[in-house]
Amino acid sequence: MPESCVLKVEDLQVYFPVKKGVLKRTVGHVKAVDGVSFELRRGETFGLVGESGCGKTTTGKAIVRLEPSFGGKIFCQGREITHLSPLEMLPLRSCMQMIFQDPYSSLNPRMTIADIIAEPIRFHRPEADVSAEVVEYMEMAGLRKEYLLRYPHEFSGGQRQRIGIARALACKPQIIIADEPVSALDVSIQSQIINLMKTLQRELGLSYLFIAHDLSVVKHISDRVGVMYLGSLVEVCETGELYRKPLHPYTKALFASVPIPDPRKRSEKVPLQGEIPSPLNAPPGCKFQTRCPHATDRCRSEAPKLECAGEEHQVACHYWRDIQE
Amino acid sequence: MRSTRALPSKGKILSSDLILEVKDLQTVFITEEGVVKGCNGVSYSLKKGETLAVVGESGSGKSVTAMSILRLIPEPPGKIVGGQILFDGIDLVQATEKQMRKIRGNQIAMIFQEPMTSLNPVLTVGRQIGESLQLHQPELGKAATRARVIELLELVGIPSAEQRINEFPHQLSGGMKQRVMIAMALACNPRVLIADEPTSALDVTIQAQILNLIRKLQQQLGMSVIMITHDLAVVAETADSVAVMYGGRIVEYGSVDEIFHQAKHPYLEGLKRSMPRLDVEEEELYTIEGMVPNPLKLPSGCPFRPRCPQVMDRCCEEPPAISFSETHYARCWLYAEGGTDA
Amino acid sequence: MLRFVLIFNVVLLLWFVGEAKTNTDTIVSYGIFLLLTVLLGVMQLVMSRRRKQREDDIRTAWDLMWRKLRRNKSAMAGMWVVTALCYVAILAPFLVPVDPYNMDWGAMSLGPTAGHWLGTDEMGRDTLARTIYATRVAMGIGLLAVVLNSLLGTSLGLLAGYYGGKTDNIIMRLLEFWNSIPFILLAIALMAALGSGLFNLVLVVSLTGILEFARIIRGDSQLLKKADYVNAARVMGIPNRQILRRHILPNCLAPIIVMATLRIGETILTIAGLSFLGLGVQPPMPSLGSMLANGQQFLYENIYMSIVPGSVILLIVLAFNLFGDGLRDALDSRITQ
Repeated sequence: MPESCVLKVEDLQVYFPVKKGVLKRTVGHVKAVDGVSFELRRGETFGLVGESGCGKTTTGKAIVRLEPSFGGKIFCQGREITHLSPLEMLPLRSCMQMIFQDPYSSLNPRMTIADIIAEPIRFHRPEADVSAEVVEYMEMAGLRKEYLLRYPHEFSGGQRQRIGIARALACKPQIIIADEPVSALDVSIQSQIINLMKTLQRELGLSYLFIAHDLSVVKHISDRVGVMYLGSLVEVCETGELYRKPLHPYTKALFASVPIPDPRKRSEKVPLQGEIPSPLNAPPGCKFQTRCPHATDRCRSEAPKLECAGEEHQVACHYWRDIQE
Repeated sequence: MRSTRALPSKGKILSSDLILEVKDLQTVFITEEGVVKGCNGVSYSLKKGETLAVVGESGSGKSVTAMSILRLIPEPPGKIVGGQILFDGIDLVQATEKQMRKIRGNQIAMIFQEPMTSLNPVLTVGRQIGESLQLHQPELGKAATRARVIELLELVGIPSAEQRINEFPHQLSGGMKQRVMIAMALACNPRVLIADEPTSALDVTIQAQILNLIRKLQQQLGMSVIMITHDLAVVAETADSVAVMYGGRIVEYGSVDEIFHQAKHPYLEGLKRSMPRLDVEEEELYTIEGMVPNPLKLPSGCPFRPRCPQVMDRCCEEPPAISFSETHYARCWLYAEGGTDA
Repeated sequence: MLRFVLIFNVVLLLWFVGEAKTNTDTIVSYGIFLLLTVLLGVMQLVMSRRRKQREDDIRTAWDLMWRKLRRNKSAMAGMWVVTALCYVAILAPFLVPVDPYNMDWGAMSLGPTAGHWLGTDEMGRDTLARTIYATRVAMGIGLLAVVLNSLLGTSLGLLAGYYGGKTDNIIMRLLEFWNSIPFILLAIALMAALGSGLFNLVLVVSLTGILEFARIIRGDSQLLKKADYVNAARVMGIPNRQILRRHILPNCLAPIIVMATLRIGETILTIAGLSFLGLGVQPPMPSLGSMLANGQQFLYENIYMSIVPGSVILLIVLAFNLFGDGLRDALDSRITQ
């Protein structure tokens, strides 16, 4: 593992058992995440995009061990953490933090802002000057220190997200897993939070795993992007190249589906028909075959693996070379 | 360009074209904390076959206006305290509940953001659509209802509709549920469809499908659509005219091209610049400072005043609506006579 | 509000200071009252200090709840009656006109007279005095039993809901088993086995109905453990015990309070029922249930012996139920926005 890599995920699998009957026997698995591999480098933002149900949030939760992983390995700063006990995890906990999607459920309504931000400080660094640090982190996240003794319900969504960020920062993390941090916010507030996250990254040298469904936001903040479909990565690429020249048919369709905020560029065609199959009965072979216009018998039997299509570009499609017009 | 003519709704639009006209609508909510002006003097008009997009952030009053049209505001705490909603020569504000029941669903239909909560989970899809059909067309027989339901489901692009009518809502995906909702709304050939964030809960690929479906149906059936959304991109894809709302008021109103290419109000301008875009490279995102206003504590005058980069002393007073063309106006002091050097 | 209560308490304290050392009963009552008053004073101090720290008047969830509660007239009536009953219960030895155990052989089974406002029973004991003492006993046992009951129910429910899986299964199945034994049968068996003391009575009453408590708290904690703030705490490495204490328990507080309030009324009714059957509070200690049972034998001679304790039971249960219902409504959407 190279020095610059702070987080590495190898063939991660998260399966949820499907139980049936009185005895609750396991009759099968929902493969929420099925063999995902990527690495996160120091100081970069890796965007993970995909539609709902594609397993991007589950991937994030498995990395911070909120979901147990079924197979595969997770390395944090060169150390495998997949099977560490909670006690062994403790020193690594502060290294990896998470920002949540819903600013309303991510803060304990019975705690003041000061208590919320102080909790990780008291826990991880009991010797620290807690009140001074709390104020410091609040200012970092762009919150006025008069808010110290207020309760979360007094704040708007954007401010709550700032509190969530301050709480994550209070652990002094190096990696932040941001699970749809702006998708619940108003448009005019989104850009504030995105800019804040970018500033913090520059100042503190943070690495972000940025999980989102909004391709425009991901494009703006990420250095590299992984596109997920039904539990697997279909394309991983440096952001600029991916948005200029997507190779996988799903990525192409996904980008073409995004409405452009300019009525002069209006398009009438629908790039992708059909719906995502349920992960409970994912098709064999390539998972995108049910909606792919280029699918052949080979796609129906053999699952494509991620292969290099350029220096920073990997794609999982049998025919990526052939379908470029 | 710059003139202070009357509002476009009083302009040259032929009265036969007009299908719905909202005039100076005022809806308030009386809460424990005080009186919230959900929508404060909103006026817009809808022509036959037109799509009007009402765009705004949370608390801007975009949904309140739509709910007021259908008189679905819960009373109390809500109350329509002023204005008119003219539909077919009837003022819906004054209409009786009996009249409203005839209009709701029949003439004006609505689809909601959350298809999951708008469908009854214990009834089959076919039965739910059938019920709303029979409610408005009691003369329809059993077989005829069934045939019409299947026809509707096929119309909204649900494959194998004959089997689907026996399924329950939980067996359908989010996109399919929204299609069912649209089928229900279309059951009685409404003349106006109000779509309240119809695609916000859906994925982009599904969103594209649903938006296209609405567009197609509109052309096919000659409906007028009021599209309520927070997403400017959706507006650009679908709308003919756009009303931009902020703090319970329309701050700018115009054709879709005017809104996207000749935006006047600083809020709209800021909103457009703060959106990350796929088709443009940007280094740093522009931000509108401050917060979405608390509807309880709206500032006097222009509601955007505390966040506006071009704020002036006069902004404390109610800004006038300044027309830029037949269809385009903005409510901002910047463009008033003797405004500024901007 | 709290300030007036405080002043009222201090006035009462000064008023009764002379009689404070009459007997153990008065000493204990005076002590408890003094303690409560001091506690109230401390609360008032803390609250006013907090208010000073927050420069503007943004309301907390509790303020909102209080405002909602205050508009609910029946709940407020319930609250005032409950408060009054608390005063009566605590200050009983100072309020009774005569000793409730004192038998006035010259005035047996009387209706209301100047000497005995609510009459006397068949042994010439003052009904008013006995009712006041019985209220005190009922409130005391009821409160104690509910405190025990909610402690047990809450902790079992929290554990079952938070840990889930096997823990959940074991706890809930055991509770269901326990709950399936008919209450009266259980009470008779336990009282027979343990003997009929006040302590045993509390034990029996507090052990019943844990299931309902545990079930609601279990449901709540199952929901709460999925909240993102609990996830955040887990990502920070906060141990389970601390998560339960700091993040889950405080957010279950509202239903606990509501249920406990409703449960007090119910428990008092249960105790009265047991006493009516002779299983509860043992004579000569006055209790509402046994007074009722006693009065029933003299229904034609002296109806006051039944009416007085009966209406007090009604009043207590009604007050707690109204207050509890109001609390539930007020706390319902407590932290929406």
